[in-house]
Amino acid sequence: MSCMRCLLNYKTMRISNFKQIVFFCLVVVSGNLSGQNKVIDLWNGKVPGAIPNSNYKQIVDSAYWIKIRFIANPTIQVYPAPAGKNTGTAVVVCPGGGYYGISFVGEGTEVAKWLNGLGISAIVLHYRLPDDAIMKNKSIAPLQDGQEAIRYVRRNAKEWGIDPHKIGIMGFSAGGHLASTVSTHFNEKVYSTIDSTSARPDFSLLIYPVISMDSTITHAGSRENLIGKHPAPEMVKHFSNELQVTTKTPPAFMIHSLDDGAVPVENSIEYASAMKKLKIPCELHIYEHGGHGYGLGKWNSGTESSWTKACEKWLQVRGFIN
Amino acid sequence: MSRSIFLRYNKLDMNTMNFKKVMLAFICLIAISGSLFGQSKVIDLWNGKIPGAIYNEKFKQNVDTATGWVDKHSVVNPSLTMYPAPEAKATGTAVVICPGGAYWGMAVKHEGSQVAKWLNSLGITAFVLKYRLPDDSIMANKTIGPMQDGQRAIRIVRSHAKEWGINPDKIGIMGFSAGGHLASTLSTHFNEKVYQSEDSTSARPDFSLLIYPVISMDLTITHWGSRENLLGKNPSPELVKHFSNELQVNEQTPPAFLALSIDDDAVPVQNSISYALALKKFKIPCELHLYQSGGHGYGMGKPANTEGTWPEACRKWLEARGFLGNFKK
Repeated sequence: MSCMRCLLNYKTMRISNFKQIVFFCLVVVSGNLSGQNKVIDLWNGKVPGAIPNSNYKQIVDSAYWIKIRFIANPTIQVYPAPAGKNTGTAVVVCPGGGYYGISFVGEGTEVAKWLNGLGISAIVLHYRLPDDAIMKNKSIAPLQDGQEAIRYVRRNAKEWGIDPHKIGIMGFSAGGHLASTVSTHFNEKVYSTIDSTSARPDFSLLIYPVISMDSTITHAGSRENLIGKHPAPEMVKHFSNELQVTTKTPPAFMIHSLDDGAVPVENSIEYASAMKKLKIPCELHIYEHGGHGYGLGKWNSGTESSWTKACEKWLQVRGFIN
Repeated sequence: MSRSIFLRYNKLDMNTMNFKKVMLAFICLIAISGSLFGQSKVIDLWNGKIPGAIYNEKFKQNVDTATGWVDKHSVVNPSLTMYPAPEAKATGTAVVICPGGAYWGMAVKHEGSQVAKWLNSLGITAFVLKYRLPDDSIMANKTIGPMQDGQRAIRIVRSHAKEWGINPDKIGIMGFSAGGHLASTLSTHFNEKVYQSEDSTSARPDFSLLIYPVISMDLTITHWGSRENLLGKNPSPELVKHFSNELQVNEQTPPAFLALSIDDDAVPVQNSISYALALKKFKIPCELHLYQSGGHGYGMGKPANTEGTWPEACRKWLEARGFLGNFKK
C-alpha cells in the first residue's frame, strides 16, 4: 500500500528519465573501462536489528526509473580517486528513491564518476529501505547503515588514501534525508559499535533533499515509508532534521529547484535557516527549473545543469579539493 | 543614523589606504579605456520638471570620488548614465541599475559603473540610475520619490528603445541592497500612478536582478536604516505593507534572479527568501543563490570566494531566459 503510493508519487516525477535507462545500459557495457570499484558488505553478515526472512530478494526494478529494492544486506561500492588526482577527500553517496528504492545509477554510479573526476573517492551506499518484514525498527535502519558507512570509511582511511577529516556525506532526495539525518544524528547510538570511530561527516552535500518530516512540507511518500502512516509527534520532530541542527552539524552545500513538485523547496530553506542561526557555513542554490530527480543534471539544459560547477567551487573554497 | 550606514560600508575605506595606487590605476584606466569602451552619456530624467519637487538651494551636490560614494545631498536632479553595449556584441537587452546605500546614499561605483561595464561585456546596454533619496526638504512625498525616478527611467529606456538599439521587451531592472528594494518596488508597483506620465509607455521591467536586496519593510526582517529613511520613524501598517514587496507580488511580477549571502548581517536573508516564495506561489520563474560568505555590500564579489561567482550564475540565468541571444534590429 505504502509502496503503491510512493510509486504513484514517483510516476510523474521520473517518467522522463528514459534517457537514464539508456545510459544505464551504456554503464553496464562500459563498466570494465573506467575506475575499479569494489563492493563491500557493510556489516559482514551481522546486520543490527535484522529479522531473517528467506523470501526477501533484492531486485533491480526499472519501471519508470531504475532502482534497487528490497535490500537486506547493505553494501558500499568503493570508487577510489584516480591515484594521480587523489585529494584525500571522500564522499559517501546516498541515492534517493522515497525510502522505497535507491536510484543507484543516476544518483549513484554516475555521481561516483563525477566525484572521481574531482579527485574525490566515492563510496556509494546501498542502504536498507525501511521495511517491517526484515527489521525490528525500520525508522533507524537507514541511519544505522549511514553511520556505519562513515565509520567504515574513516577506519579504512589510511589504507584507502583518505584524510579522515575530509569525509563528506552526499544525498539526493530521500537520500538527502538520510545524509542530513547522519549529519545531525551522528552521535545517536543506534547500534553497538566495535570501536569509538566517529560517524560525523565533515561536510554534507544535499541535492534536492527531503529534510523535514513535518506534514506541511515533507515528501509524503518518504515520510510514510520511514516513520509510518501515523507517527507520534516526537518521532516527526526527531526525524525533522531542520530541528536537529546543532553547533556540531557539519557545513553544507545544498541545491533545490523552485519548481520541485515532489519535495518542496522549503525543506532546503529550513535547513539553511537553521544552519544560519548557528553560524555554520552553508550555501543554497535554488534554480528556477529542473523539477525533481535530475541527478547530475547533465540531461538538463536549464540553469540547474550548472549545480555541479557550483558544488565544485564550494568544495574548492572549503579546501576539500584543489 | 548616517554613522551606522557608514560603518556598514566601511570596507570601502580600505580603498583610501591605497589611494595613490588607485589614482594611478584610475588615470591609466581612463587613458586606456576612453577610446576602447563605448562612451557613456548622462540623461536628465525629468528635464527640470521633477514631480513633487520642493526647491531648496541649500541642497548641494556631494560626490566622494575616492570611494565612489554619493551621499544623500547629491541627487537633486536624478539622472540615468547610459553605457551602450559594444555594437558587435549587442543583444538588444538593457538593464537599469539601482545602486544601494540604505536610501541614504548610493554606491555608484561598485554597485553602479563597475556593474555596467560587466553588463556591457555580456552585450547588455546598462543604465546607472541616480535616484533621489527620500528627503522631506526637497520632495512633497518622500516615500514615492525613488519610485517616481525608477518608473521614469524604465519608460525613458523603453520609449527610446529603437533609437538606442534596445528590444523594448527585454528591459530589466537591477538593484543592490536598498537599490534592490527600489528594483523590487518597480517590479511590483509598475502600474501605480505616482506621477503624470506623458504617454502610455509601460514601466514594467521584463526581469529583475536583485543582489543582497532589501525587500520587506516588516519590522522583523527589514533593514532598519532603509525603512526609516523611506517611510519615516513611525509608518502606518498600511504603508509598511504597501512597501513590503514580498506582499505585493502578483501574476504580472517579472521573473527574478536573486543573489545574497547567508552571513549578511545588514539585510536578513528572509527578505530574498520571502520574495522567492511569493514568486513561487504565482509560478513565476525565480532563481536564488544563497552563498556561504560575502556578508553585505560586495558588489561583484571576490572571485576567490563562492559569492564571486554570482555574476556567472546571473549570466547563465539571463542566457537560459533568452536575454543574451542575438538581436535582430
